[in-house]
Amino acid sequence: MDNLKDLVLRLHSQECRFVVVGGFCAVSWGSSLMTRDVDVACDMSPSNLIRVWSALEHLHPVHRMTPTRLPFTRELAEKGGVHNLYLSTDIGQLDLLGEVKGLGSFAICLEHSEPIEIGGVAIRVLTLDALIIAKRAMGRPRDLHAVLELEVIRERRSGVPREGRK
Amino acid sequence: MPLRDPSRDAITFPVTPTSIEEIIAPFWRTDDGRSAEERAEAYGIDLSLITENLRLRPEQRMDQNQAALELVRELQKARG
Repeated sequence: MDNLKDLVLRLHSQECRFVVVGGFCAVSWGSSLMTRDVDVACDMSPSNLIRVWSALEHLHPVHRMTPTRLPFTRELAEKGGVHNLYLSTDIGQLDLLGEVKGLGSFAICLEHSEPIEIGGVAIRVLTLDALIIAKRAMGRPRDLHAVLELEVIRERRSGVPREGRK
Repeated sequence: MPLRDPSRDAITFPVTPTSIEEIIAPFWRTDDGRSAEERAEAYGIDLSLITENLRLRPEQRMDQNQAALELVRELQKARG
């Protein structure tokens, strides 16, 4: 059974360095688009990947983009040298991204993130402005839907007059 | 009486990925003089869903996504 929130909380429990980006971040801001996976910008250093592995080790993580669905092992985490990891686990898909299009590295994402309370702990997600920039940079039709929703949310939160209305 | 499928007798035109991109291209723009709400409404987005979501806390929004995921899974299971 998928449990995307639990995936995020597991990463937090092992003190992984990550920022929630993508569709799950959009959901946290109020988008109505359902998402089936969690995307996080992540410090891809071996030390952090070992924390990620520790968080996921009991969930049978595998590299879902490899034909044989290779297990994500501690040895692979220790080796490092990866830009992105596309994992499948017992409770859902988790994409770990070393870089986010439109924004850049994990450090930049971290700079443009803010905490939200999930399960009694603070989880960092992209700011609304940063998420819109990232979604615009992706440029797919489904990203447009998200962008349009997120820009409405930004407009409503800011209370800026609806200048387009006659 | 059999149901009538309007798509069978409507005038058809080729919808290629390129033309879809062309159709949605104006919605990427923000210099069209429209507010974000107007642009989203024109695109066909149901803004009442956003209104409802904004009443919730972030964690509740995530739980709502989870519930939707589980429903989809149940429906897929029922279809076999």
